[in-house]
Amino acid sequence: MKLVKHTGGRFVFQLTTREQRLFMGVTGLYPVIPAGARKLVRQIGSAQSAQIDESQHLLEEALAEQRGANQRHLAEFLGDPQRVHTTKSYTRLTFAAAEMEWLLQVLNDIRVGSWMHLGSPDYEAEKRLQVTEENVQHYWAREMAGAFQSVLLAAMDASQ
Amino acid sequence: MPEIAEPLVLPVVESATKETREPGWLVVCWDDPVNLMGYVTHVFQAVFGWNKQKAESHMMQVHKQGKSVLVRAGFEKAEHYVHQLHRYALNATMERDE
Repeated sequence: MKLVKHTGGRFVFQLTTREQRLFMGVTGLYPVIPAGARKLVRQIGSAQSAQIDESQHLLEEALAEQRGANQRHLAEFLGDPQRVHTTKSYTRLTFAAAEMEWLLQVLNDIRVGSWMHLGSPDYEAEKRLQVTEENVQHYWAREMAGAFQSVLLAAMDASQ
Repeated sequence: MPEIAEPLVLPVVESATKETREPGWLVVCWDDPVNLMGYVTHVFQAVFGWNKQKAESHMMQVHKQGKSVLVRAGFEKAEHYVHQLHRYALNATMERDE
């Protein structure tokens, strides 16, 4: 996947046929972070617990709403021939600047969620990677999401 | 002769009252070692409007020390920032500043 054009706030990326299949496969997994995995606070003091409980509930509702909107947006985007142009040898994806931000969020959900499904490995804390038949797809999803993120970030950096 | 009005004296309680009414909350970002460093820097710039140098400094703190206190704010503002950081799938919480 490489940036081929950046004009007027629009980014055009070209993917090989294989990369396009990987992109579709990875984004098709969204959302991956389990609902309720994110907490507003780590420790709740009794004085604030009612307020925090309500805010946590609102946070989960907002994130669920956002995940639904992102899924719809992703399906619309991938089904739009003006934005996804495929030939025999390559696919071109056209994003507006705001959509780059949105796609980064989607890809990081996939990357972080896949990492969670792999047992949240942390080598400094000696927490090992746990690959099983059930979660092996998350191994490549984590890596591919990161690779696509890197290309988007580099393109955004170069445009500034 | 007109009556002279009593000088109006405001009670000197602003800072203490404000502190009691609006306790501070710290927005903390925790290290999930899977996040790309460039991504975390980008998110801090996007959410807080920081320049790259400041965003990188907080990103490095998260990376090396496991967490970074990003801002201190009132409850609603801190909640807003945590929501924003969660949208980007970063591990953020708000903690009472005591």
